[in-house]
Formats: sequence, structure tokens, C-alpha cells
Amino acid sequence: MSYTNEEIRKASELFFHLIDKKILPASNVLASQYYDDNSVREIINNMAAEGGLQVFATRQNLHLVAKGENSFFATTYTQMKEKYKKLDRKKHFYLANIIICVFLAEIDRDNVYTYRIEDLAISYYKLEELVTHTLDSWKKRNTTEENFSEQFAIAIDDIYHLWSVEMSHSKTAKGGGGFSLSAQTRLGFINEALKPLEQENLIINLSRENRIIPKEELYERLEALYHGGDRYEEIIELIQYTKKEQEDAETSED
Amino acid sequence: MTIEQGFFNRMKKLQPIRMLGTGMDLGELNEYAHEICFLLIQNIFKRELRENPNRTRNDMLLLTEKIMADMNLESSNEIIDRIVDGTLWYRDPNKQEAFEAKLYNEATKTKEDYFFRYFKVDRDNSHWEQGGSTVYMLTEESQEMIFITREILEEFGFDLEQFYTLQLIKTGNFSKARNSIDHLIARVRVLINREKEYRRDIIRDPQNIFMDRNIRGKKTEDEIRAQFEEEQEVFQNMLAWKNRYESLPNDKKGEAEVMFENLERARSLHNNLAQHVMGNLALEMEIRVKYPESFWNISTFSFKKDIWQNHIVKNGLGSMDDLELVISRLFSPEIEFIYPLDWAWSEQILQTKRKIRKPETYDGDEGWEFRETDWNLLVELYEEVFYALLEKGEFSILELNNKNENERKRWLSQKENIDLFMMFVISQVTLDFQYTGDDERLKLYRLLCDKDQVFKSLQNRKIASTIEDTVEVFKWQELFISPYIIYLEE
Repeated sequence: MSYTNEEIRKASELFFHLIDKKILPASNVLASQYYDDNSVREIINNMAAEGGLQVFATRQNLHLVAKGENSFFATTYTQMKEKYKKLDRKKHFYLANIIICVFLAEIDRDNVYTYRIEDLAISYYKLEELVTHTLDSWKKRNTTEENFSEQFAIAIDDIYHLWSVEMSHSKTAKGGGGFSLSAQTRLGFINEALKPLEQENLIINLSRENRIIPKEELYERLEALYHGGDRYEEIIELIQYTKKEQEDAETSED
Repeated sequence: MTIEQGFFNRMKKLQPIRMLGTGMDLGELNEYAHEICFLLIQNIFKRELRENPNRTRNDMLLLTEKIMADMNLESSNEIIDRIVDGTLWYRDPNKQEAFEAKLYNEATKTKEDYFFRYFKVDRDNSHWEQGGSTVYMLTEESQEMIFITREILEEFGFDLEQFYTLQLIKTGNFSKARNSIDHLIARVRVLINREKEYRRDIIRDPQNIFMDRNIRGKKTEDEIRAQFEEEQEVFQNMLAWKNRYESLPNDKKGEAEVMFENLERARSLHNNLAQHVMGNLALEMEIRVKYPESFWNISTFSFKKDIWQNHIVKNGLGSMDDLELVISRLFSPEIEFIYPLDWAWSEQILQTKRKIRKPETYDGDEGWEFRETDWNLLVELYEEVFYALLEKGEFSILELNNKNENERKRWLSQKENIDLFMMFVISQVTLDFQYTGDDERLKLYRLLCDKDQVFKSLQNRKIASTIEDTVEVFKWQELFISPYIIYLEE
């Protein structure tokens, strides 16, 4: 596997451009080389892998993303995590994660044929209701069943308390013109939790109309990063592995 | 058989009518709710036809206030809010949900959920990323209500509607013809929208090409092309009656003028539709040829069902920290990047790119587009058009007929090139190089002025359009455009 100087030059040029822009339209002159030139594609994939990054191409866009845990690089998400670093703020970070997941689950579609992106805007109030449902059902099962791991169960209690006791309901401004964005309120915290997605330009946050609009790019990422069989296995393994590890640790303690 | 086939589909059409204005409590005004809501829809529809983008929730509030004043009803802000929200959304307006009904389906013999809305987002006019409010337009369901309640209760196809309009023009029935043209325009709009949505759908998932969406029946490309040509001919026939304008009695002239103006608009929209359809056919072909593999990739898993609902929600996690493993991969790296000297050339490219972009104050919509518009090319192509405006005060599309093969290719290389010309044709515009909004014509003008100061002398001049009385046509490949001239208004 050897590449010409020209190929390396082209690939590096595109790579740095991609680092700068994060998403390039497939029609972009530089980006099109990723589609057309095998060598360029290989070099870039290698460069990305070395940095704990991943490049993937859809028919519309070329994306550069950090490969989660293994990446050296900060993201809008790790910046948020940084904010909740203090021990007593940990539950805020957990709650933010749950909100992101609930949001992603709500906008994700099994059947990709029959939806209009613009119909998928989701209202803050709807999202609030869904988060409440999720936490309620976890909380309920926490007290009646013993299926959850200990660490998870404790976290649930904390988060439930944070959401339903510590955070207040937001008041709608008259005439539907938005609501208080204070992070002490539920809606305000939803706004806070989705910031990484907003900064990443994956959603349009229309808080004054109470709604969040997912962008095409977010669907591309969901499709590429979660929908494939391999990716699915990988994620499930990731979560299950830790779970098993913990169980092992618990049994060895006994 | 007491229940005919198609019952379910009929009920789908009745339901929006049945539910209109029912979900709101207006106290004493409850008996008016249905009528006020319909008037609101009708007024929004009228604005849509006239290309008036004042169709936000706030505009609806103002319209409703006006409607109630015209009906001599006493209104309050609260009542008006309820009417508008109750037409936009079902139940709790905060949740912005679609209207929902359970309808009996004769095929499955069960009640099925049916969802609909009266208004949907007009994406082209909602400039969210520039801080704009959501602009609404009618859904096909609510358009249907407008259509079936028109005076002539007949269901026309596009061609029949055209011929009907032609008859009205022949008999001098201009105000009726004008109504009928409105319906033509609405129909073309619906078709254009369908094509646009279809385009997004097949880009997102090529398997949509095989879905029976019935957007243009089962016609072949040739049949579609022939149909467009026929339809253009009918327009031509209608416009031919313009020659009789001088012989009209004076009281008819005003009516006729407005009517022909609208007819012109209908024709150019129809042209535009033809471009969308042909563009989509070409895209279908391109995807079939270039990305055959995309028909094989069927995603079997979803985040919603497989990862979240059936796994995490159901079983919980070993540790809450694991959620991070799931989410963190969604994001791009944030890098404070300093280019090493070795990479200076790459910076060079970035810089020149930036420079070109600087004058444009927005590039927000970019994310929704399939391709980026090549503004350099646009500026190069339109230099000639604007020189013609400077020197002769006009430019005819027919002048492009003199272009050689290479030049034609350049004009056809992106659809914005021709689209922009059609934008000049469809509505008038006053040139202003200091304009910073998102009218692409003015953006083009600004870029032209940046390139050559001489164009600044056209500042504040108005560009209008007319149609040339000639047999010569503009026809390149599948592209057919009526002989339009754009000119500087005195």
C-alpha cells in the first residue's frame, strides 16, 4: 500500500478542510475526491482512525465525527460534560444525557419512507412529558422490581428527584412567545441539554416557538452511526460489557 | 355490500371538515368557531397564491382579529389565541400535535388512526436560521376544503381546468377566468411541492424511487414530456387572446389585464414545474446508475426501538455513565486549529473560499441543500445579462439561443442559473446592492457590483418582465421557456 505525494497532498488538504468545517457537501470540489478516489479515501480514513475520529459519507454530505471514548478531541458534548464535572453536578449531566436520548428516540423513525422532516419538529412541552414518562417508569420499576443494577438504581433516584422536585415547571409567556430559559426549570434545562446538538448545527432550536427542529444532518448521523447492524452490535456490546464487568466485580466482592 | 370500497378514503376527506373549529372553547362564540377557522384558512390560502409570505402565527392572529371585526364579533386576545392555536394544533397547543381521528377502514374492518393538519410549515419561506418565524401554508387536506367548496363543484384535472379557463377567456368572462387561473396556480404549486418533497425523499433514501407514491402516475418520461408540451400549448392559446385586448370595451380592459398577468404567472410556474420534474427524473437515473448499492442497504436497526426502547429503557444500564458511550459518538471534534506552514496551501484554499463568502451575510440554508450554488458561475453568466440591461435596457432569453454547445452546458450546469432568470420573470424587483436579505436576485446584483462597479449605476432601478411576440422559442434539451424579456422599467 503506497501512495503518491499527490494523493497524500490531496487527502491532507481535504482532511484539514473537513476538520475546519466538520460537514462538507458531497458536491464540494475537495469532498468529491473522497467519493471518487480510493486512495484519498483510504488515507483519510487512516488519518481519522489515528486521531480517534471517523469520517463517513452520505449521498449528500461528508461528516467528520469523534469516535466517542477513544477520541483525543474535545466536542461540543465533552464541553458540556466538563461543565458538570463537579460531583454534585453529576446528576445534571446524567439528566442531560437522558434528555438527549429521549429526543433522539422521539425523532428517529423505523420507517424512513413516510415522514416529512418539517413535521418532525418536537415541542418542548412534549419532550418534557416524554422525559417525565421515562423517569416515572424507571422510578416505579426501581421500587417494585430488582432488575436494575445498583449504581443505575441509585442514579435514577437522584435524577428523578432533580427533575421532579428540584426543577420547577416553566411558565409559558403570554401569546405563546417562549418561556423562561433558566436552567432551574425543566424546559430551561432541556434547552441546556440540547445545546451540544444545537452548537453542532444538527438541530434548529426555536425556543420562542417552543419547538426543536431536527436537521437533515442529524438524520444522516443517526442513520450512519446507529442504524447499521455492526454499529448496533458495537453499542450493545459496549453497554453490556460494562454491565457484565460490574456484575463480576460485585460477585467477587461477595 | 353496504360499505363500498374507498369508504376509508372518503372519511379521510370528511374528517378535516368535521373537526374544523371543534376543539376550542370560545364560550358564546362557539357557534362561529367553524366559520372563523375556515375564513382563516381561506385567507392564508389567498396569501399563498399571491406569494405573500406573511403567514406566521402572528399574522394569523392579526387576520383572525380582522375576520372577527368584519363579522361584528367581539374578540379578545385570549379568544383569538384559542382560534389560531386550535386551527394549528390539536388539543394542548403547547405540544403542537397533529389532529387525530379514528376512522373505520372497510378493508381491514378495524378503526385506524388518521392524522392530519390544516397548516404545515412553508419551509422555503421560514428563514429559521436567519432568526425568522415559522411561515405556514395549507396542507393538501385543507386545500381540498377550499377546492370542494368553490362555486363550481367539479373535480377538474389540470388539463381540464386549463381548457375550462380557455373557454372562459374566449367568452370574455375574465373575472371567472381569473378565479380559475388561481386554481391552476394552486394546482401547479401543489405539484411543485410534491416534486420538491419527492426530491428530498429520494436523496435521503433512494428506495423511495420504488415506493408507489403516485406522484405522476405510471407515465414514461416521453409521455410526461409530451404532456408538458401540450399544456404549454394551451397556455400559448390562452395568451394568444391577448391580441384582442385592444378591441375590448374599456370596462373589460382592467379585468383582462389582471387576468393575463396572472395567466403569465401560471405559465411560468408551470415551466418551473417542468424543470422540477425533469430534474427529478434525471436524479432518479443518476442514483440508479451511480449508487446501485443504495438499494441494498436496508437499515434493520433504529436508535429509537433497538437501542433506546427495547434495551436501555427496558433493562436499564450497568452504570448511568454508559449513556455517554452511546451519545458521544454523535459529535464532531472541536479543534482550535493552527495550520502548520507545510499546510499553507490548504489554508490558501480555505481563505479564498472565505473571501468569496464574505459578502454574503447568510449561508444558513446551506445545510438543507443537496448542492451548493456556485455563485462564481452565476456572476459570470449574468454579467452578460446585466451588460445588456445597461446598454439596451432589456435582455431576452432568446439571446441565449446564440450560445455554442459549451456555453449552453455552462448555463445548464446548475439549475439556479435558469431559476434565477425565472425569478426575475415571475415578480418585479428593485435593484439594491446594499440589500442584505435573502433575495437571491439582489445577492447576485451585489456580487456583480463587487466585480464591476459599472453596474452600480443600475441602483434602485426596477426590473420587470414581458413576453416577446414571436414564434421563436427557447428550447434546450428538456428545457422549454417562453420568450421572456426582462427590462428596466422607466
